Amino acid sequence: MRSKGGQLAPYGMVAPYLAHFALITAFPVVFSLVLTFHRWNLLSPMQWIGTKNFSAVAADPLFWKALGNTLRFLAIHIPLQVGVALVLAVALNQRIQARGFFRAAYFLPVVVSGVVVTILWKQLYATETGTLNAILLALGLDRVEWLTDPRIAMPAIAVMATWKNVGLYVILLLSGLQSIPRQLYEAAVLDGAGKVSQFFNITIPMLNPILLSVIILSTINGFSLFIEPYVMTGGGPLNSTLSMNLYIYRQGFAFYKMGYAATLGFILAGIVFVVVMIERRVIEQEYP
Amino acid sequence: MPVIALQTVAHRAWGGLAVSILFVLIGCSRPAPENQLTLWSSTNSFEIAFTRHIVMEWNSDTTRLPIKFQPIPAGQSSEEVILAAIVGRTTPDIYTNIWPGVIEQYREAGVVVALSEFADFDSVYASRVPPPLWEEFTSPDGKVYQMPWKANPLMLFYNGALLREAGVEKLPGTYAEFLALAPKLVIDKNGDGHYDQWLLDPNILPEWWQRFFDFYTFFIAATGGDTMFRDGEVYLDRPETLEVLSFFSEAYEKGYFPRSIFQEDIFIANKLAFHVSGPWLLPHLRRFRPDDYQVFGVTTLPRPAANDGPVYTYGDPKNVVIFSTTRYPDQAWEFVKFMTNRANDLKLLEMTDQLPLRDGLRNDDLFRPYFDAKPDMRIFADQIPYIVSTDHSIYLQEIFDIISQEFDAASIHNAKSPQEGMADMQRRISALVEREKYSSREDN
Repeated sequence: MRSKGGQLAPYGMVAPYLAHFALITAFPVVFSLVLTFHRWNLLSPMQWIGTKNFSAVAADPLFWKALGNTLRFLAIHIPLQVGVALVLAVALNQRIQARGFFRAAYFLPVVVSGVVVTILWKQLYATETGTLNAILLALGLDRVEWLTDPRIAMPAIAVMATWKNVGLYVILLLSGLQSIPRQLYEAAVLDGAGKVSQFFNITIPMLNPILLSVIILSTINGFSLFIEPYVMTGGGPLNSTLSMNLYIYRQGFAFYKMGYAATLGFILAGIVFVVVMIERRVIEQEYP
Repeated sequence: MPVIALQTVAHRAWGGLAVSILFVLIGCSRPAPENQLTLWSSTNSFEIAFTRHIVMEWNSDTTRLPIKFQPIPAGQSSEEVILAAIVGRTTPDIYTNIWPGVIEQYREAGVVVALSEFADFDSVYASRVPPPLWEEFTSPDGKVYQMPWKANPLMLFYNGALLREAGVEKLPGTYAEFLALAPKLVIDKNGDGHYDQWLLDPNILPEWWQRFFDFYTFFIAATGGDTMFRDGEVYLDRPETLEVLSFFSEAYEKGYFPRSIFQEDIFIANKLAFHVSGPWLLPHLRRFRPDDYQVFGVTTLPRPAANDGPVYTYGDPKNVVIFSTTRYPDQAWEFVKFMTNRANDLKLLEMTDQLPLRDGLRNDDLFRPYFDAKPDMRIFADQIPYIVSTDHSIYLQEIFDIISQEFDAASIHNAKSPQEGMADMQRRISALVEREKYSSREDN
């Protein structure tokens, strides 16, 4: 028969993880859920207001603006991110010179601080003094108001975010490419399949699980858009780069509307869940 | 053997857990400062040096309760750090750099001490603070929760060299005179079809606090020192608001003000004729233009029409509060009086080049040598009686956020007319205030 201490040992071993989970994950989630039914400015006691935060969201034009902006960002960012990552992964899977260097170079921006990258790109995008406009002028083209034109600011941020994160997805796709059996390509060549046919009939279907992960990760990261508009544009011009996360941050930490910010957070989490489920369903139907 | 090993592991696991919990408890607990006051200052290096100096002086008298000083902990903004400290009940006894715009929130939450309850407050207040500002810092309940400490009036800097080069002989006093300078001062120097020298450079980022440096300061000047509320109601639906929005709208539309986010300081780089700033710009100019900083001058803001009266501006005041978590309010008040006495106000000027909110600063012999040595500070000191702070509202950040959005649309990007911008500003802020009032009544 085991001693009492021995019986309790497994609980003791999992206790640190459970304590961590309870404090860092479960408690904030439950507390945020409670907050969605309250008014709370951190200073005064919480006040129960039922579902008023949810009805306020429905009537809040800036919520819809921020949601629209975030979806617009995703519509540019995800195809660009996945497309560029796939092209780079396929290229880096070939026997090219300095392959190791290129693999490291593409991954480098991933490990650089988001704020640093954003400040650097702000310099590149500057209308009067930026490098990009200097190049355009040297080519005889007119300059572009990258961050101050409401039509261009969000696509410009999407390009920057793609550059920052693409290295991670290149590595993921590269690992997927390297796990595709070479015999499949050899058999396809014997059957007379060309490179394009091999790509769409072997590479893409075999990459399906990795592609699914890449798209889902891109979606979740895309919905987290915050640092870029926060540092580069402050959500402007004309609220055209106000992302959901930036809006939630402002409600919580500029206006101290903790209940409203928590409500927006839960709604965003629900939207992310629905979008990811749709993506998963579509990809699995396309490449079962 | 396995049983013994298991018991050992179990004991170690429980021991480890116990130690972890102990660390957590120690980390969460607040070391109770016994027989001392805690003081936070801003993180400005000059202010740190000043505060350190006066704390040393205070602590050198062993009959006083000693002060433990530190700059405010790092954070996105001092308001956020103070808020976190209030929630965690780890506020210092005294904080020396409070923005008056947050006082009403703190008052409603009961986290600041009413300084006007101290027996000698009235005499201290009246002997130091300029009379026109007494009402500014009095809360709606008639009490004063902040000791007015210092101000940095926003004024119009100009690049005298550019003005001379353009043949400008008279500084502009009105919007029309200001905009009339554009043909001489807004220039495409390199001939690429785009201006590379401008009249003024308001920051175009739609952050709520940026509007203190353009719309709000110009609004104060245009209205002769009014703030946004009158008799408890928003009063932005007025000709002066329209004048301010139209002035900026015209300047942006014609390219006189750059619709850009610059990474360089274009005022230092001779690409800008005028710039709105406080006296903190003077040491910056001396540092980066050491050979010819005298070419820069300071004047009052332009107004919609000629007017002989004084030109008001936003004073950017920062004050001192005592938090109600203090166990030694009387001693904390003694320190506040010490910190804001005449001698230490001179130290503040000398060490930080920031203006104490003290009446008669320019006529006081004690301060004369300072102004003789730094004559460019005189105009800021003369402005002190004509500065304005903010309204007493607990929704101030959100109100300024609405102003920022409307200013962005009606003036910077001309996406709506100034008339529409003003109407939307009035409507949205009124709706916000009404909604919050209604919610508060309903909840209570």
